[in-house]
Amino acid sequence: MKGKLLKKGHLVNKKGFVSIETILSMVFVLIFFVLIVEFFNYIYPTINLQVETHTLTQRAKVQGGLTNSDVLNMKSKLKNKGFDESKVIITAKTKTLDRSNVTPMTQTGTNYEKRDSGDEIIVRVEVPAHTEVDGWALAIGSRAFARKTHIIEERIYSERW
Amino acid sequence: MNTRIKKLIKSKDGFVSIYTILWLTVLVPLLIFILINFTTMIKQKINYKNICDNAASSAVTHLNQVALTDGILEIRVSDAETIVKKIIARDLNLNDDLSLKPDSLITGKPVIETKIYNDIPQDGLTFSTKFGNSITITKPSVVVIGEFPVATSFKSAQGSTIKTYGVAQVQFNETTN
Repeated sequence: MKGKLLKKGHLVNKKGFVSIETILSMVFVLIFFVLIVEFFNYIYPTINLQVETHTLTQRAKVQGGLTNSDVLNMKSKLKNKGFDESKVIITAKTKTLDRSNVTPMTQTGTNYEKRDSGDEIIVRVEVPAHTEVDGWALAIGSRAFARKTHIIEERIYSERW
Repeated sequence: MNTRIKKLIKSKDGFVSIYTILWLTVLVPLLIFILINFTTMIKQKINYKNICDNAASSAVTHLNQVALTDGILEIRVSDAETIVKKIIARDLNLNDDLSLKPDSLITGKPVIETKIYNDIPQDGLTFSTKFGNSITITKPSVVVIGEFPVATSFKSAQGSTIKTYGVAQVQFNETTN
């Protein structure tokens, strides 16, 4: 049988031939392609989040916490960037108090972290990551980018008197 | 025998070109390394810049209350330095003296330099950081310069140091309270 196949030239026929090199190269090109997709899938939203959270933290510093409209504005910004707004968690807390709904600067009230309180405000933003290509990334062992949630946390002291 | 060896050397059966070997052993791992490392470094650089900014911003909130009643803006030097250390220690999960804990986010003790400028000339003060940036301040300010030893994505690599800084000036915001 083997002799017949060789005789007829089936095994050594080079028509429709794909070399082992081509297969290997394509596998590595695909791996590289998935990594590039992961780069944008993971790092771009993370950088965006870092920048937005830092801006939010500066607002928390000025106001002694976050107002309700700060939280809603941030959620709206994140929605525009393609995140699921309903799953975004934004908090501003001190050790003991929640400072996520403080009195705005334009209103009178005392519900905010005072400058001389000596307590830091921790601003935390949790956003579910895009997971469309995580399966691909995990399949090739790229766990570096495979995250379920982006969590950005910053600390600041209030400057509101 | 010699002819057999010569044939084997010249044989192209099961041949893998030198380019493929080069790609598989050097270039592809190098590209993956650069991509992953580059990604991590960008993320960390922004993170440490934000930490220095927040440390400086928090430090400028600690003013000398007695001088303030006389209309003088003066940052309390010892308090400002303590606050800078506190913010950096909490953010990076370090001890209060900035030494490492077992689960710290960096690989070595950071080098933190806190500069406090209380006497500012009327036309402002311009200085350059050790990174070559020129900064002009017009009010009492705190500058935090940090060098953070960080791990790279590949644990076997030695890691590198991220150098960054944060600047904050004293400011007052009107409030209805």
